[in-house]
Amino acid sequence: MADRFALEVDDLHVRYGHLHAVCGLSLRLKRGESLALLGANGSGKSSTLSALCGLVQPDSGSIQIDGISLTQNPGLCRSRLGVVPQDFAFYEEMSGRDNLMFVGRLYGLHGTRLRRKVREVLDFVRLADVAHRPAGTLSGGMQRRLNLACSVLHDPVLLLLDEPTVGLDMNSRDAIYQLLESLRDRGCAFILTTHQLHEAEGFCDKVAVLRKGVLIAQGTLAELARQNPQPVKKPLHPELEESRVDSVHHFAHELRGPQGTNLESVLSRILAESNAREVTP
Amino acid sequence: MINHSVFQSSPANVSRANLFNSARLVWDLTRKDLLLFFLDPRAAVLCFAIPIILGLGFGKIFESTRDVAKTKLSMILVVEDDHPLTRQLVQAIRQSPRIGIREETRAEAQALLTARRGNVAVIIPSGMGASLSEKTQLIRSKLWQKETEPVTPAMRVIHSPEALLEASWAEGVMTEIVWKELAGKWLASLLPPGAAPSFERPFPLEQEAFPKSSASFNSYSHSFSGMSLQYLLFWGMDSGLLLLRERKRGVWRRLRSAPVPLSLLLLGRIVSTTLVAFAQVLLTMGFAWAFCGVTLQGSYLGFVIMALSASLMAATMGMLVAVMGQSEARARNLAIVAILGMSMIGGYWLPSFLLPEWVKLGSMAFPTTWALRGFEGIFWTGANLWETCRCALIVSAYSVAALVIAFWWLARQETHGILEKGQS
Repeated sequence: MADRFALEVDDLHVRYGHLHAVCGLSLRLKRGESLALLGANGSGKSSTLSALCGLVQPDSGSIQIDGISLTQNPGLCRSRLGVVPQDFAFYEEMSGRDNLMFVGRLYGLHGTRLRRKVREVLDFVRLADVAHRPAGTLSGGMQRRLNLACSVLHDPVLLLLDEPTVGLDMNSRDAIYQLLESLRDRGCAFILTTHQLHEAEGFCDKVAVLRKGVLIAQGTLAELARQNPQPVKKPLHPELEESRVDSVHHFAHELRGPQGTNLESVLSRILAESNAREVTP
Repeated sequence: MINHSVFQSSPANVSRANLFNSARLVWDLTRKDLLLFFLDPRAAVLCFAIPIILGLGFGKIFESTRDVAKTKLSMILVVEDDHPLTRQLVQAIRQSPRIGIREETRAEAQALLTARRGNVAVIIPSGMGASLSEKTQLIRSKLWQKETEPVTPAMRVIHSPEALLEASWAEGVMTEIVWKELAGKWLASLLPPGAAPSFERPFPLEQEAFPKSSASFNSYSHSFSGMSLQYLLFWGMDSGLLLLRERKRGVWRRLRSAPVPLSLLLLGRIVSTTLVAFAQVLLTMGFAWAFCGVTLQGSYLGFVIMALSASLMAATMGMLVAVMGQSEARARNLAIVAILGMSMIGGYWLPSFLLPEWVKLGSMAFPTTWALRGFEGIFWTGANLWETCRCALIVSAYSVAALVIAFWWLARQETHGILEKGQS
C-alpha cells in the first residue's frame, strides 16, 4: 500500500486551441511524498492542476489517482483527491462549520459520521472555537486554514495546493505547513505550486520545473543539483544573450525567496540551460 | 478513509442506489443554496416584497379602467365664445357621461399640456355659436345653399404628441354632442308641431367582455401576474449570476473537483432557484387574493402546475443566460435586455391587446407570453385545467431546452478549457 502511487501522469497534453499549455508531462508520486511544481506565470502549472482535478479534458495522456483512471472513473478518482485553490473556495456568508458540512456531503459523508469528521477537522486546523462565525469574518490565516480543512475533510490520497500560503504572515504560514506535514505523515501526497522557493525547498521532497508547458527538470533537490553542476555557460548566440539572461532573472524574480537558497541557484542553472537549448539552432 | 464506493459508476451500480445518491446530492446542493438565500433575511424579505410592490403599483395605475362602461375621457375645455348656442353646447358637454371636463383659458390649457398635466384640450373658438346659429336659421327657413353657407371657425383639438387615441376620442364625442344639439333644431321644421324628437342611438347596442369570466376584470389580476413573472425572471438571472460568482471566487473549482457530476451541480441550482421562485409566486398571488380582490377563476391544480412551470422557466433561463454570458458583467447586460424585451413583448407591463399585431404574433415564440397566458387564464379569463396545462407544457418545454443548452454549453466550455483560459 505504501509503495502504491498516489499519482501517475503519463504523457499528458493539454491544448487550448492553438496554445499547447501542457506538453507531454509525466509525473509519479508515492503516498506521503510531496512535489513542488515550479514555473513562471503561463508555464502550465494551473493547466496541469486543472487537468489533475478533471476541470480540463486532456487532449491525450493518462492520469491515475491511487491507481484509478481519471478518465474512466472520474467520480471515484475525485473522491480521493483534495484541492486547495489559491482563492478562498468556500461560501463567506456561511459559517465555517456549515461550509464543512456542505463539502462533506458532496463527498458522501452524512449523519453522525459527517458531524464527527467535521469536529475532527475543525480541531485539526484549530478553528473549533470560531466554527460558528461566518467564514468571511475570519482572519486571513483562519480562512486559509478553513480552505485547507474543506479539502482534507474526506481524507484524500492526493492533495493539490495552489499557493496555499499566499498573503499570509510568517506565523500563519508556519501553521499551514505544520498541518500539511501532519497530513503527509498520515500518507497524503502533495503537489504544491508556489512562488516561495524556500517553502518548496523546506517542505517538498521533489521539485518539478515547468517551462512553456514542458517539464524541464524533475527530481529531489540533490538530484537536480547533481544534474546541473555548472554555472550558466556563455550562450551560443551572443546576440541573444541579453534577452536570455533577462528571462532567467525575470523568472528568479517571480520565484521570490531568500537570496542564495540552494533551490534558487539550481533553478537558475536549469533555466539558463533550457534557454540555451531553446535558442540553439 | 471514507467509503468511496458510492462514487463507483460501473453499469452494475447504475441502479436505485445511484439514483438515491444522486437525489441526495441534488438535495444537498439545493439545501446549501436555500441556506445562503435565507442567511441574508433582509434580502430574502425584499425578494418576496418587490413583486408585491410592483404588482400593487401597476394595478393601481390601471385600476381606473376596471369598468370600461364608466370610463371617462379627461379633457380640458376652452370656451372662447359667449353665444347662447355655444352656452347650450357647453351645457351638453358638461352633462355627457363620456367625458370629464376641466374648463380653462387657451393659455392655461397649453401650459397644462406642456407640463403633461393633461392630454387633450378642445377649443371652441369665438364666432362658432353665431355661425352655427346662422346656418340653423338658413336651414329652418329652407334658404340654405352650399355656396352661401357662412364660414364656421374650426373647433380645435390640441393634444400631447403621444395622446392620439384620446384626441380621436375627443373628436368623436364632440361631434356626437354638437350633432345631437343641432339636429333637433335643423329637423324641427320637418316634424309635426308639438313632437319631441329624440336623437339617441337609433339601434340597441350590447357590450361584453370575451371570453367571459365569472368576475369582472380586476387590473390587479394582470399586474400581479405580469410583475410576478417579470420578477421571477430577474430572480432567475440573479441565481445564474451566483454561478459565475462561484466560478470567479474559486468555489466552482472546489465543486467541480468534488465527485459530483456537472449535471447534478446544475440541477441543484435549478431546484433551489425554482423553489424560491415558487414561494415568490405563492406569496405574491396570495397577497393579491387577500388584499386586492384577485380571485382564482381557473383550477387550483392548474395554478400549482403553472406556478411551478413558470418558476422552472425563470431558473433555466437565468442559468442559460449566465452560461452564455460567461462573465458577470456580460451576463447581467444580456439578461436585462432579454428580460425587459420578453416582458414588454409578452405583455407583462401593458395588456397585450394594446400591442401591435406583429408584436402579438412574434410574442408567441417566447415562453414568457405563454406563462402570462396561463396566469391570466387562472386569475382572469377562467381557463380550464387543460388550457392551463397546455400553457404550462409549452413553458416547460422551453425550460428543458434551456437547461439542455446550458449544460451542453458549460460542458463544452470545460472540455475546451474556456473557463480556465478565462481565469488565467
